[in-house]
This record gives sequence, structure tokens and C-alpha cells, in this order.
Amino acid sequence: MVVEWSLDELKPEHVLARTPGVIYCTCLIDEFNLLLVGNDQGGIHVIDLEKRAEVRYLLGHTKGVFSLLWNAEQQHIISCGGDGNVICWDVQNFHSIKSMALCEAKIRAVDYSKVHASIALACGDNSIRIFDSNTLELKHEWQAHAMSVNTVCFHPNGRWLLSGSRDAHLNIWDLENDYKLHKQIPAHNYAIYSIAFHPDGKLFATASRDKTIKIWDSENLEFLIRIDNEFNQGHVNSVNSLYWTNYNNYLISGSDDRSIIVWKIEN
Amino acid sequence: MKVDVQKVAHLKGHDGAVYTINNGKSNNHFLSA
Repeated sequence: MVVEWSLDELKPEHVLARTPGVIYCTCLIDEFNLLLVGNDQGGIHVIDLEKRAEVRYLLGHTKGVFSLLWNAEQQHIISCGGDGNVICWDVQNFHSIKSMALCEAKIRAVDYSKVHASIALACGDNSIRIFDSNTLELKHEWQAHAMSVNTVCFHPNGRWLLSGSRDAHLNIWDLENDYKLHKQIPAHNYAIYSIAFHPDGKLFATASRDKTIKIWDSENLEFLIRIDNEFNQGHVNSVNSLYWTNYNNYLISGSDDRSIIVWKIEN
Repeated sequence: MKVDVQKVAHLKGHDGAVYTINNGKSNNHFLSA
């Protein structure tokens, strides 16, 4: 199910969707009042939040949908599948505009840079692929890690792309220097699943299968603090997802331990 | 730079793993699944 939580009251407010199977990703499209829900069967539920009803079910992937992106500039939805395909959907009629078979492995994550008009894809064949967000043409691809790439995130400085992998490394790529490796950091003990930037861009966080969250300085990429169960009463299993809200600058984490933790990080 | 970490709330409500956390419709809401 998809739950909407109140940060004022720190409790659940609504269940927005109940779907069979496991949900891997969601995406809110504010201007159409729609919620997209990607499941483990390769389907995307389209929920009308005003009617509180499913209005479409998009079946384009043959394996789980791991990540969804709304490109407001192009009015496109991008979906990433465990089948190695990326599909671009028209939000008006929900038809597939373009389907791209990229590899045999999973496509785990997508991020968008308006400044660079680029979409970055984290691929299970250890590569990162960069597409032009306007034309959907492949601009660049390279072997980025020793194992599957799980997450990608454009740095707010517009210069770097960050990637996290099953190889437990955090890699920083220089967009102004032909995507050359700027820095490689052995950031965690196991796979990195999520990267999130503080709203002011000065800090970022990484989440890992090693059950920890780490906070980093965005400017010099130095490690600042580790959040774990022993010292912070953190998660007891893999940390899968992070979201850094501008409400009190709370960092929110979701885990295999079935719980969500709200953190306040102050500098 | 020095940072302090404070745990604000530990929220439970899902029967299985939490795979995704996203923005909600307003600043004071978020979504989980």
C-alpha cells in the first residue's frame, strides 16, 4: 500500500493506494493530480487522487518496475524495469512513446537534470547510461562500477553525478569533463541503495544494505557522520530509500525492517 | 563541518519492507510504500 504521512503530526493520514503484490516505486504528478505506483509484476497503477480510484493500469514491462520519473518539461513518464527496458509514456493518453531495451539486467533507478537536459539511468550491467531528456537519444554510456549500479543522483552544483552500487562504492562523475571519474569512495560495507541531497544542497545522505545511513559534505565529499542502530536506534535491516524534505529539513528513511524513521540533521 | 543527528520519530504501519519514500502533495506530507 501507499501511505501518506503527516509531518506535523508524525502519523499516517491516508492510504492512497492498495495494490496486490509488492510496490517498488511511486511518483506523484501534481499538475494532473495523479499518483503512479510501480509493482513487482511489471505494471504501473495510475491513481486519480481526486477520484481516489485507479484510472489506468499500464503493462509494458515483463518484470518489476523499479523507478518512475515525471519529466514535466516534456510531459513524459519514464519507467525503469527489471526486464532491462526503459519506457517513455505520454501522460495524456498513457500510450508508450518509446520503449528502449538497454540490457539483460535490471534498470534500478533514474534521475533527471533540467540544467543538462539529461536523464541518468542506473543499470544492472554495471553501467550508467545518459539520455537526452528532450530527444531520448543515448548521449553517453560507460562501465561505472564493479557490480550492479543501484542508484544515481545529479549533484545540485550541476557539475557531478553520484552513483551507488552493489559494490558498496559511491562514485562521483564529472559532467563537465566527459563523465570522467572524479572520486571513488568505499562508502559502505554492502550495497548502496539510495542517495538524497539536503534541500539547501550542503549535505547529502547515502543508505545501504549494511543497515546504516551516512551523511556527507556535498562540497568536499568528506564523510561526516554514520547513523546506525547501535548509536542512534536506527534501522535493524537494509535501508532502502531516503527522502530529504524541506519540512524542518527532516531526512526520512525506509527499511526492510518495515519501519520509517524521521531524522533531524543539523549543522 | 560538524553535524548532529536527532531521531524525531520511528513510524510503523507497513506489513512488509519499505522500498520507497517520496514527496507528498504538500510540504508537510510524504509518501511511503
